[in-house]
Formats: sequence, C-alpha cells, structure tokens
Amino acid sequence: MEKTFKYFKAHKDFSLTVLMVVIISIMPLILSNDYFIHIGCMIGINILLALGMHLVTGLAGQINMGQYGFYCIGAYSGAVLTTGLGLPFWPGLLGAIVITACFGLLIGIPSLKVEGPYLALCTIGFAESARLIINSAGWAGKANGIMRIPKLSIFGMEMRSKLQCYIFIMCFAVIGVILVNNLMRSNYGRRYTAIKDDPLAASVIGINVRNVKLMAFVLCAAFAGVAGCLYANYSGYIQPTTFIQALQTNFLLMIVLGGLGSSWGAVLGAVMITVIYEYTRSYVQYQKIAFGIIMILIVLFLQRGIVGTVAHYRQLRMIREQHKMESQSGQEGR
Amino acid sequence: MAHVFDLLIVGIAVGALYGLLALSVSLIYASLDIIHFAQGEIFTLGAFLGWILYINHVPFVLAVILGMAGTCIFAVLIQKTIYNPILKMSGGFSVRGLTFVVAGFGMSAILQNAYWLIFNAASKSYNADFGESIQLGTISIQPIYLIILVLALLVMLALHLMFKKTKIGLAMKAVSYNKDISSLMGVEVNTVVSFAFGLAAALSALAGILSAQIIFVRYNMCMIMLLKAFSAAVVGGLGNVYGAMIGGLLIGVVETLGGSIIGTQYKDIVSFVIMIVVLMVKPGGLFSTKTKQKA
Repeated sequence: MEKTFKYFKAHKDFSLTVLMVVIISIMPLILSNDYFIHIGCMIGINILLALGMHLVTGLAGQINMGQYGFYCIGAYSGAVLTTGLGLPFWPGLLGAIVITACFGLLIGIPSLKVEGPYLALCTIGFAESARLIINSAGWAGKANGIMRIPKLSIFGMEMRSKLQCYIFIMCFAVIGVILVNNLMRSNYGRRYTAIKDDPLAASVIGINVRNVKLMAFVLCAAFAGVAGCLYANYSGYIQPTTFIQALQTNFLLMIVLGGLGSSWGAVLGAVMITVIYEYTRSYVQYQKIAFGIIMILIVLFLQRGIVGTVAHYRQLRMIREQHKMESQSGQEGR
Repeated sequence: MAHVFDLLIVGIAVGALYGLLALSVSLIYASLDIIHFAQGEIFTLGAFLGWILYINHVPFVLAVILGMAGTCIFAVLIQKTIYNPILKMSGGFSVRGLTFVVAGFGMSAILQNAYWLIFNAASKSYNADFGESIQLGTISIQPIYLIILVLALLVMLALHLMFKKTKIGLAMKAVSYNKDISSLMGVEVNTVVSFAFGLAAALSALAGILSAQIIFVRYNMCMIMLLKAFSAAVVGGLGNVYGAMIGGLLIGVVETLGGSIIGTQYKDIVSFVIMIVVLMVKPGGLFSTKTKQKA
C-alpha cells in the first residue's frame, strides 16, 4: 500500500492523469443532468484550448492573443469540410488540424521578429481579421453560420446522446494532457522553457530558436483546431458571433489563474473558468466584470497562479527543512 | 473623381481620429513602456461623458472640454491606484510584458461591461448641430469632417510646442528615454508619468467625442477603433508622437480607399494586415531610423 503511494508521489503527472480520468468518469454518475454534461463537454473543449495557450504562452513565452482566431478557423474548417464537402468526421478533423496548423505557422512568422505586447497586437490583428473574413464570406454562411453539422462519430458509430459526446470529448482532453505533459518532460519540450527564459542564451547553447517558436505556434493552433472541430460537430451549429474577442479574455484568464508554465494549472484554470462562465451565463455583464477584477487581482496578488503558488510554497518548505537538517547535522558534528 | 475626393476627405478625417487615439497609445508607451489595452475604454468614457453633457444641453465646445477633463481625472485615478503598483512590481510572471497585457485586458473587461450596465446596450446618437454641409463645386462636405481635421491639426501643433518649448515636454522626453537617469537629474518621474497618462486620456476623450458624431455611442464602440489605433501607432512607430498621427492618416486613407475597391466588409482587415506586415518588416515603425527587435 505504502509502495503504491510512494509510486504515485514519485510519478506526479501519471497519478494526476489517473485522478483526472477517475474524476471524469465519476462526474456524470453524480451529475447526470444533461445541462451538467453539456458543461462537461465545454470543459473538455476548453481544456484543449487552454493547453494550446499553455504551450505557446506558458511554456514558450510568446504572448498569443489570437487563440480565438485559431478556434474559429478550426470550427469553420471542420464544419465546411464535413457539411460542404460531405467528408466523415475523422477526415474533417484531420483537415481542420492541418488547416489551423498552417495558420499557426503563418502567425508564428511575426513571432520571430517581435515579442511581448507587440506579438499580442499581431495575434489580435490576425484573429480579428479571420473572424471578420468569416463573418462576410459566402462559403461560411455569412452571419447565419453553418447549420446541420454532422455529429461526432467513431467507426460509423454516431454520438447521439450528450453523455456519449462528453466521453468522446474527454478522451481528446485526456490525450491532450498526456501529450503536453510528455512534451514538457522531453528533450524537445525543454527547449520551449529555455526560449522563454532567454532566447539569446538558448540560441547560444545550440537551440534553433526559429524552429521552436514556429513549432510552438503550430502546436498551439493544432490544439485549437481540434477544439474548434469538436465544438462544431458537438453543437451542430456555429456562427461568427460565438468566436468574439471576449473569449480570448477567458482563455488568458484560464492559464493565468491556474499558473503560467504548468499544464495542470491550465487544466485547473479551464475547469474553473468554464464552470463559472456557464453557471453565470444569465448575468453576462456582472460575470465579465468579475473576470476582469479577478485578472487584476491575480496580477496584483497571485502572480504565480494557483498551481504555481502551491508549488512555490512547497519549494520554500523543502528549502527550510533542508536548512534545518543541515544546521542540526552541523551542530552534531561540532 | 468627385467620388474619390469624397472618400479621401472621409479617409483623412477618420484617419485623424485614429491618429488621435494612436497618439494617446503612443504617449503611454513612451512614458511607461507598456501598451495599454484599456485605452479604448477611456475613449468610450470620453464619448459617454460628451453624450451626457449633450443631452443636458451643454454647448459642444464646453462639452468637449468637460469630457476631456473628466476622462483625464478618471484615467489618472486608475493609473495611481491600480497601474502604479503593478508597474512597480517585478518577477512572478515569467513572460515579459504579459503582466500588463493581463491587467489591460482585465481593466478593459471591467470598464466595458460597467458601461453596458450603466448606459444599456442601446446605441445612442450624438449629433451636435454644425450647420449645413459645405459645397465645394460639385462636392459637399459634412462640416464635422473639417472640424475633426482642424482639431487634429491644433492638437498636433500644441503637442509640438509642448515638446519643443516647455519644461514638462522636455521632462517627458527624458522619462521616455531613461527613468532612472531622469529621476537622478531631478525630474519627478511619477508626476510626469501621471501627466502623460492624463494627457493621453484627454486626447482619447477628444477622439471619442468627435467619433461619436460619426458613429453611434455604444459600450463597445471602441473595439475596432482601438485595434486601428494600434495599427496606426505601430505604423508610425510606437512612442513616436508625429509618427502616430501620420500613421493614423495613412491607415484612414488606405482603409477607406482600399475598402471601396475590395468591398467595405473587408475594410477593417486592411489595417490589420498593414499592422502585421509593418511589424514583420520594420518593427520600429515606418519612420524609425534603424530596425530593431521590439521587446
């Protein structure tokens, strides 16, 4: 028993993933209402979006304010591929990923030249143009959006009930979490952190800053593409007014609230913000004011985010204990 | 030909409005080294104050002055209470510049929805009477466009004189160059920064009241406007006061003419594309002497 406990403590990501799977499978048993399951689906989609933001902003340190643009492109490409061209869901998903990844590459190019707030401007400009183009494009149904998008399906099996959709979407979310965690621990993933801390030093030790920055944007866009395609096929109807700039505030809040640079922070932030967002839908103005106040309070008092603060205090405690042990052994030695 | 001339007048006037807002963005960037994402809400506040004074039958000139003053006071209050502690902080956020982006977005969300709560979502028309349209041969010009142009020119002249002749202008230049050294030289950095913020807010309010004559007063009237102003400021080079106005005029004209060629629904995209291209090719703006990476 103690051995398994120790194993779980040593493999934190693994145990947290198991915990996540357990929670995901228990939740629909407790809250079986369709409305709660819908919130669950949205949580899954937002986890994917937050993971994308986490990759590019939290890990690689490039401020991305255009996540809603990628989300929009993903949703529309998925919808157009499945309704317009009549493809089944899976090829549509693949197509959506490829298209959004291409746009990610395109938006990655300015990131080679500019950084910080300038990049934020660049990405907002991109996302807003994408939304405006889609808003007035004939193939995207203009302001009416696209209706009768095929349902999520696998091996010819359609996801008819909300519960099936929930499980389907959550599978993607869990796979996304596992992918990002493994990436963070890999040789390749550490380059992202190196670039965030100091691009110059990273290039000196032989990291190709250019490639890594571009790849961060591509991955981020791919995650958003998956999320968008899932959203389109899950809700069956999309319109341009869904993908507004206010969404970006939510995405930013997700990674900042959870803690920058931690994938579990992104997941936690996504869950919290989605639940608050869906519950307070009827008081939109108050909700947005509250989100704004939370953002400013985080900047003022909780800069590390929730997960970051917990990790910080644990580190402090560890250092303190080590000092205590050292001073004790020092006294004994004397 | 008359059509093109008409578009040109509209483009220059709208460009002057972008330029005014871009000026305020640029001033804040010059003195604080940040991009203030909530400047659009300051602009909306100016428009709302002007509209309130207008429905209470205050004359236009007085409404402009009072609106500018009120917005200025509000912005300085925000800056003193919320932004100053944030700017003095260090560490925590490991992404450079993200701290203030988050704060700006938060403030923008708060203010925008506060306007919605206070003034409803309905659009309000605010058309102060400027008399008949002026006839120039076959072309008729709305007087408001001329007023915008004249006011923008006056503002530029005043700023030029301020930077060249007065002590506070010199102090602002010093602070934007280096805060530590200028504080050692006896410049009161905090006062200068607050002054720059207030001045920027006053200019935004002026732009807000003037653009309220063309578009409706609405809680989210700044959304596209602010992005255009950012494009203008980037094209002129952030921190460059003259560049901001020229960039605004450029964006206004190119967008209006381009919109008439490729379709008005795509006219907003033109300015964003210009911004992205300028950032990629010449990050320091069109009028910078040397290209450098902007941080």
